[in-house]
Amino acid sequence: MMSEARAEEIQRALASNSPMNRFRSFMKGVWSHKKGRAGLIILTALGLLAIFGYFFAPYSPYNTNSLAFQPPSYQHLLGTDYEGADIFSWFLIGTGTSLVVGLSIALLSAFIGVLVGVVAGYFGRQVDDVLMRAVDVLLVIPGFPLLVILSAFLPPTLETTIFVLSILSWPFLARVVRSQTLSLKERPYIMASKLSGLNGMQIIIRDILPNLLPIIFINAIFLAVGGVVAQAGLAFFGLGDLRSVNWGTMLYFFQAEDGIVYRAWWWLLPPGLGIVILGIGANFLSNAIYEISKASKGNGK
Amino acid sequence: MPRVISMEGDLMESSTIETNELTKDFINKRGIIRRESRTTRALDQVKLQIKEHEIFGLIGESGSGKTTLGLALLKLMDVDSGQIIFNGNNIMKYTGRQLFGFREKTQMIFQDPYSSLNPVISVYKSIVTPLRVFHKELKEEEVLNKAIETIEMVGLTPAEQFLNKFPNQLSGGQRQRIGIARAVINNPDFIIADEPVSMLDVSLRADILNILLDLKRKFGKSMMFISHDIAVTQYVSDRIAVMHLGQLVEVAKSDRIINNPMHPYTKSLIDSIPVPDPKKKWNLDESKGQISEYVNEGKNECSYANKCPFVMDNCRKERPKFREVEKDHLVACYLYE
Amino acid sequence: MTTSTIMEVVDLSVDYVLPDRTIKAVSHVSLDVNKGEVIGIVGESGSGKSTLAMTFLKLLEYPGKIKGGKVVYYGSEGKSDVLKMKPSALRKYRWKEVSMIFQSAMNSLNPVMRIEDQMGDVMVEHGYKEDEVDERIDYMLQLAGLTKNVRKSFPHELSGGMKQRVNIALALSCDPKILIADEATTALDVVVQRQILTRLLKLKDDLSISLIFITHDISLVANIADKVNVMYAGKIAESGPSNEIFDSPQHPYTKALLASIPSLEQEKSVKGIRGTPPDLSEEIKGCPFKDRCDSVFDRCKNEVPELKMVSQGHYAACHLYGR
Repeated sequence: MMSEARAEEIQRALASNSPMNRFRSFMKGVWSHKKGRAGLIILTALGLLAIFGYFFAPYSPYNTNSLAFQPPSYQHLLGTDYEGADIFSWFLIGTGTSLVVGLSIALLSAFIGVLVGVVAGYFGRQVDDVLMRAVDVLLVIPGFPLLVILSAFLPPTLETTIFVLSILSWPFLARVVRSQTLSLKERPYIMASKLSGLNGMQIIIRDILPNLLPIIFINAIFLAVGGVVAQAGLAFFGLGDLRSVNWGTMLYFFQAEDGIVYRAWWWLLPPGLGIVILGIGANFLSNAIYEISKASKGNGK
Repeated sequence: MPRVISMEGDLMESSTIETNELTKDFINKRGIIRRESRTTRALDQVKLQIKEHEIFGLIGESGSGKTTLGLALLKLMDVDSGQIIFNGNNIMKYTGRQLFGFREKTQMIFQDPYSSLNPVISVYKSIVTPLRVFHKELKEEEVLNKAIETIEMVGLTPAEQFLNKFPNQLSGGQRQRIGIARAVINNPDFIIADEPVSMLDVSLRADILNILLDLKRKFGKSMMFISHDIAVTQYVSDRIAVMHLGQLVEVAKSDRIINNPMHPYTKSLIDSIPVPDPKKKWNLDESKGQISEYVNEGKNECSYANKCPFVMDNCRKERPKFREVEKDHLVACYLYE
Repeated sequence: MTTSTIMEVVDLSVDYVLPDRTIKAVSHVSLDVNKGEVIGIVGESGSGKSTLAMTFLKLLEYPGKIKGGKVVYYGSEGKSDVLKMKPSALRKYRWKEVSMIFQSAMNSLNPVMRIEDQMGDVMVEHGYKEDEVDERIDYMLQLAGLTKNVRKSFPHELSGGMKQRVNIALALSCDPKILIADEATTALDVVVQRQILTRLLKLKDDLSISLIFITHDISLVANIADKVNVMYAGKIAESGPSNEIFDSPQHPYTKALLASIPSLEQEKSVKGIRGTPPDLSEEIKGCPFKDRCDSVFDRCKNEVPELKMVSQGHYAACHLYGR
């Protein structure tokens, strides 16, 4: 019979394995990784900007009472645009919109991509054939031209942009997830789970998805960045909701309203740098996640 | 009812699992322009019987079909024809609930301790899976107690040091013990151990073998022990079957296989085993032998005919049937007709 | 050393220097290889046996680092330290003086080249003339127990045993004086293993070369080696003539290892060695085997045992012997 003290100790040991604790220790790992920490700091900073930027914006983005094309000054930290609107305020508010668009695209396309990839990879045969043919079709369609066409025909709202971009981004992730699933499902531990009476769906949830988490996470980060960039790209060509304030519309108005003629670098730089910094942060973080997950899975050899 | 067969005079033993003419082909398609398909017969009319409370050794070289046989017996792979009888029931057509019931009674111990445990699942969660699936009525505390008991049974003490660990925090030997714990926790009737020690260091193998022997002694488990290592197999097994290119060629008690091998293939196999004794240096004259590659293409012939020094016309006309040459010693070879 | 010594390893230490830790893979190993001798090096994974073999050919790469010692080769042009060889000298030394069959040799053939082209390339690279190469390929394949029609084959058309024989033919193609086989038959079946090893031993006699045979399989070593070195935790635990090692093992590790393998001949029950080998990235105080040893005593905990002679040519690194 187990002693009281021993039973307690065991309970405590088991509790320390809760998903929350594991997530915490994973984040600790990321934090103690050089690139991971840099990535976290950058992305958190951008995230905070996105959430709270609105409250710190000194002007409304539609306030056009100042002079146009003013270089940075104390009144306008990042100068003004062609209508005299404050670019700093545009940037603060636009970051939020851009990141929300990116995140929505990442979530939506990751959800579809993972679902399709895992189901196709695990169940194989006809399921796989049908799903992968769909993926192939979507992958060979040249993305950007299609985007341009679709955006021109669908109502120009942010939701449309998110929807269209998601539809075009999930197939790649589905491919990656499927191939990973194919290799995972041959592992003996999957066989062990079958022998333990688990069915396909249970095995996917219990054995396969947790092993795919790092790769899904890394891909989702890039999907988000890609989403931000693609949305900005669409807006740059005047497609999508031009009334919305985001990095893309900033770029659009810069080129449409002769920002380049006035050498208004202060107008171009904030959205441009925003995208670059977001990309760098995402890269650092995904690198760190990759290395950490590889090390922790290490085959002991 | 399990079929009852006569063994050792009046002692009656029943079999846990038996197969009848089990056959499985693999078809390889190759060539891009001219599609050729090549059939490899992985299981060629395999007939065997594993008794209750017995460790049944299966030896053969790589590609002999021994792992395929293991997978087929546990219904992890479909076969083309033949029968598998488990506890008296033909399980060939089992699906759904029946298959679930069969799963409850069988388990497997895997070769590779590194890939047989899911790296993201803790030891505790790994080993109690069978309990949770097949015995939903058990309370959390009962599951925990059973887990602790089982972990200590496989020699990992104190158990609480291991419950919480993840596979990458354990050594190869410890992982293999966890693999065994997972296989036995639900008290199955039949376990297949597929090369359970071949990836472990020599000094760690003995303990794993002794655990398997203990399981048999204490709980009367039936087990099939698949290995290419004859010395290891005879250490744990009561009987040994020798497999060559999908065909069983000889079945006998372990010591008879070792001391009195009859089939020419078994003889060469036993002869080739290194013995830790420098006085038994190998004879270098036999080094002239050529190696060539043969596969069992499903012809009705002895699978060893292409290599056998005693090959006769008969061997290629029809495959030899099992024949009881001495008591409980079955050989499929025309030399003993 | 004696006059027939062909290679001498002196006090060799190798570290793997990783960003966060240093693994002492081999520490202070010395051994001699005589002409025409079969040396067995036995050890479990992590014992340093493969690392040791790599240094014989100066194949060690980052993060491996030689910490000290030398590998002296006595060639036709006098003696030289392999570890100090320049790339040009090294190119001549590998294959022509010492060659190696690897553990992963099954996959070490180029999949898109015919066997004859692969062998020809090696020979031409090492100074054989084009016209003699052709004949030599046949000769080498025949030595390794293969027929001529293997020449035109691609590696994927050959079985594991045949590929391993091609590797033997390749390794012997430039008349080396020493052949190192690192777990060369581990992946093969026993019947094929025996065929290949008997062939190798025959070649050793015919061509009077030395063989260094590295394996985890102590039984196998008993069957083929003249001298045996048992490695544990990067050190030689015991070394001596193979008769002595198997008839009267001295080091508790050797004894335990022999007691842990099932034998066909005796009805004995086997016993594993408890615990696991020490972590070589940490400082080991005293004897590396002390935590797993049944005869451990106080001295083992603090003092590292040196290799001491227990009888003629038979050494053991254990405090039980030679005070």
